[in-house]
Amino acid sequence: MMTEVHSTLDARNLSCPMPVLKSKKALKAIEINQILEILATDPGSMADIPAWSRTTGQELISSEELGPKNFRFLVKRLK
Amino acid sequence: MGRILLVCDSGATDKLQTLAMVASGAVTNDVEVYIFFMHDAVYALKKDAPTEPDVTSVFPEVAEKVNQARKEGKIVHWKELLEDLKELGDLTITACVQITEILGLEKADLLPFVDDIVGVSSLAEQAMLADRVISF
Repeated sequence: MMTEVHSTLDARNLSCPMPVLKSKKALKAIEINQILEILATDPGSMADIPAWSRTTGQELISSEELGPKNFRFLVKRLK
Repeated sequence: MGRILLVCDSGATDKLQTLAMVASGAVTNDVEVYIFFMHDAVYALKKDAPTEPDVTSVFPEVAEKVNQARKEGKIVHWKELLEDLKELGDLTITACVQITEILGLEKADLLPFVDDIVGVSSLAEQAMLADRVISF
């Protein structure tokens, strides 16, 4: 079953710390229980987006490496 | 989530950039951040600060590549980062009163994201309130 995405953040071609910083902004803009899709090319994102989700109490639904330096994350806003 | 105190006394671009990077990691992870700028770092906060020096390094290749990346806009400037973080989380930015007095600076002479000019007692208080203190 496809997960419904409520908002997409295109953070491709942004380097650290901008993908996480913009993710935080984007998450604030959606409602609780809605899902944010994050697209990134920064290699640090693979560690940073999960770490940010964990420490801020959000749910990382998935993290995928679609190709070389091409990442996709789904984060559910829990608070 | 927690609280950290960042102290910076350097006006070197690489130190200020590192400070802003650490602050951004903390703010995005919901950590409360208090920054105390001292000495040369206060001068870097002047609205009319002179042209910013290039990043320096003991390794010429590092300086060359980082400065090139800055020119190409691949690194977000520390001032821009701090400005963004103010909107995003709990960040307080202060400047040391002693150096502002010596340089004849008022709060209005400093960048708008500076919250206050404070002394060492405030710094000590913040150090005691913080879970971690990091200096640059």
